[in-house]
Amino acid sequence: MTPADAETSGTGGGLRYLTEEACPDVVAQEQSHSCQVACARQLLIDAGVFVSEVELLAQTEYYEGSGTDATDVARTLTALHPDFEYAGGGSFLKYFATFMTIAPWIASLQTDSGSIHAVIVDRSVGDVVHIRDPWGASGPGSEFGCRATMALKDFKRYWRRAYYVVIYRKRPRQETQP
Amino acid sequence: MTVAEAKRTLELEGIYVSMSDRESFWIAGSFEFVEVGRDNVRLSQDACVLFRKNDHWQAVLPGLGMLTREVYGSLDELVALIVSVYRHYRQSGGPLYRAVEQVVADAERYLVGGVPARV
Repeated sequence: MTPADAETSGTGGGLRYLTEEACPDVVAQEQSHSCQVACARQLLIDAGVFVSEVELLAQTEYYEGSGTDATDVARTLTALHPDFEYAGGGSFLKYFATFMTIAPWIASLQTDSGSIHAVIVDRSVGDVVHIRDPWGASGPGSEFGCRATMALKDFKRYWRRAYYVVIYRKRPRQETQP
Repeated sequence: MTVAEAKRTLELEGIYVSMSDRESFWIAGSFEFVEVGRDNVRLSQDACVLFRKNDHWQAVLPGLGMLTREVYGSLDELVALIVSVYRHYRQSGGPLYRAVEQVVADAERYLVGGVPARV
């Protein structure tokens, strides 16, 4: 993994990553504001469910130029994920440690350029947060997304500015009786 | 207005306020407790934040999808604005971003996030 240039790293320069590396096992978002859906797609792929971004967008309310709502993406994830039900909405800083116990989860971050961008939070080690970012090396439509690391204090600052929006697995899927 | 007075003003309106430090408010009209593993967390569909940024205060209010509206001002001004937004939200229903659009004068001016960074 290479050290990231603070001027150019993360979401076209909007997030201050410590390191950043394009990875073939991380999907890239295909639309300018489809980052939440791309993160959901990655969690589905992790669970062995292969679905295109186009198919996911068709099942999620996507506002061109505005993106998606966390509750809606959580609903789509719940419908398609084989193992878990998901929830989404605005949370609070004090729950960061709680969310880390059930990682990976999706966080919305407000970048330095003002846009809200969703990433997958995989783990937190000391003062460093490990992230999968669907933005990709050349933005939407890149071949791959990135694995990146970010200082915990920066992560909390970016997360606060997006009022701590999360999408996370709340419990194992409840099977209904036929 | 002091930080304590701001918190009290919001709470008297029935608005939920949580603070991570003396200069950062997390504000919600409502929330529910949702499971996270063996714990429960507060999860809101109508949250915003208010925090000090250098010598002024900044409110980040929701827009459609992943857009936000950022309004700068004094603590007094922003608390008054947030109270108005949540009053309108409760009276008119619908998502919080609609109330923001209707209460914030010249709301489009404060919209951020429409164009991702250096595409």
